[in-house]
Amino acid sequence: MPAIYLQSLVIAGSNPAVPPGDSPNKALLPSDVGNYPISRTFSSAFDLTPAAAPSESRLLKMSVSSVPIISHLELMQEYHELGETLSEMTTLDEGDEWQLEAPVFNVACYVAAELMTNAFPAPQLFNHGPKSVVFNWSRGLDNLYLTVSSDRLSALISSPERIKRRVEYSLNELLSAGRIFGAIQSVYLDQQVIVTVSGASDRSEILS
Amino acid sequence: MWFGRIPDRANLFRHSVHPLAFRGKRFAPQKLFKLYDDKQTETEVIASVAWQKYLPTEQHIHGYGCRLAFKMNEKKRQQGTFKENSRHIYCGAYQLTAAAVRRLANMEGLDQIVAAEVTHLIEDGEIAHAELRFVFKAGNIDVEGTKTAIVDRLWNACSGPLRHICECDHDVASHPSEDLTHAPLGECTDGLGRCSRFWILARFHICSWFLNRVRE
Repeated sequence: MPAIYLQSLVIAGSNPAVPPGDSPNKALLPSDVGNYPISRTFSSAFDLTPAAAPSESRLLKMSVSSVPIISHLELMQEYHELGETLSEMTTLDEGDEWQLEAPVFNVACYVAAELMTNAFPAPQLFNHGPKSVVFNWSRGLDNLYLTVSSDRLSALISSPERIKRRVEYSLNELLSAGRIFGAIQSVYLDQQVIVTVSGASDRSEILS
Repeated sequence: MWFGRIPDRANLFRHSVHPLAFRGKRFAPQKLFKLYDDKQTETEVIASVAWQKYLPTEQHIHGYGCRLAFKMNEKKRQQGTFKENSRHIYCGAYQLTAAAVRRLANMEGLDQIVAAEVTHLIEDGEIAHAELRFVFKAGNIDVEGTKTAIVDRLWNACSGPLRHICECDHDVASHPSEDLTHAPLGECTDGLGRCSRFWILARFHICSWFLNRVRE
């Protein structure tokens, strides 16, 4: 599906050290055989260091458990749609409640690219006006929100009863986003996550 | 413009309109409450609800919602941007109490809010209209993140929905009211006895009559 690789969300690049404004048109491209080189183990804490690919037996053990499995292509498609939506929001007239300011769009694309690179499930989207956009995930009765504005990112984890956690980051901290997403991921998922991409079959899985 | 503090025990309703509170076909609870910056203060955000005191029956509650969607469509017509297949459709209402709104000011995780108030504020000819107002701390605080926390807590303080299909929307094949999800606090209850209900109904008609006289 070559068209996916050229969409607006993918262009923010995969390098967390590159600020949103520095490389707006850098594409996250697949390898020559059309695969994305993702193969990481996220353990319980903040460690996002790439690890060796899980052994076949370990993958099999994880695969047979009753956990949600999302194909990598499906994930790409969802992020592609997210990117399109964000892009459309910047073109709306001023005063439209879905309109998004350009600086917010740039940071949102950067954050989305980071999420996608880390194989985080694609979020649902809403906003409070032009100054921010909110990424939202549900897990059971709990909700995770990432509120992205032009100069900061804030995470909120809530249950029906209470606010469980709120964390706020400045844009500068956001530039070391691997640590941030590791923290968010470990808090939210509270368990081991394995992301695999099979080079031979172009099939990928997220097991959580 | 009339205004006044609404008591803690009062029931409020938030009306859900498609597509505003939806994400495509799916209802999106986080979009139920829409917060607006108060341009005069810049440290306060506001939202709209309706006060049950002036919507004494379910018919009145839904009448408010149908008028709300109708006015949105009329506004689009006047702007020349109305499209029949994407018109606004009222779907139903969710209930919460004034006390639940005010509790946000002292809630753990919402330190940025110094006051949360619910005020009766007649607007656009609707005597039941009420305003939620959240006052933020001064200084460099996380306003946008706090808005997210507010809409999350407001949704979790809701019960319902009371689903409804307006007369003008009977032609809609797959009405979005079916897609409304149950609120965290379960079914709506007004907790009113027969006498209270009669008194509220009488008071509503008196107020409506008086308001119409003032308009004339």
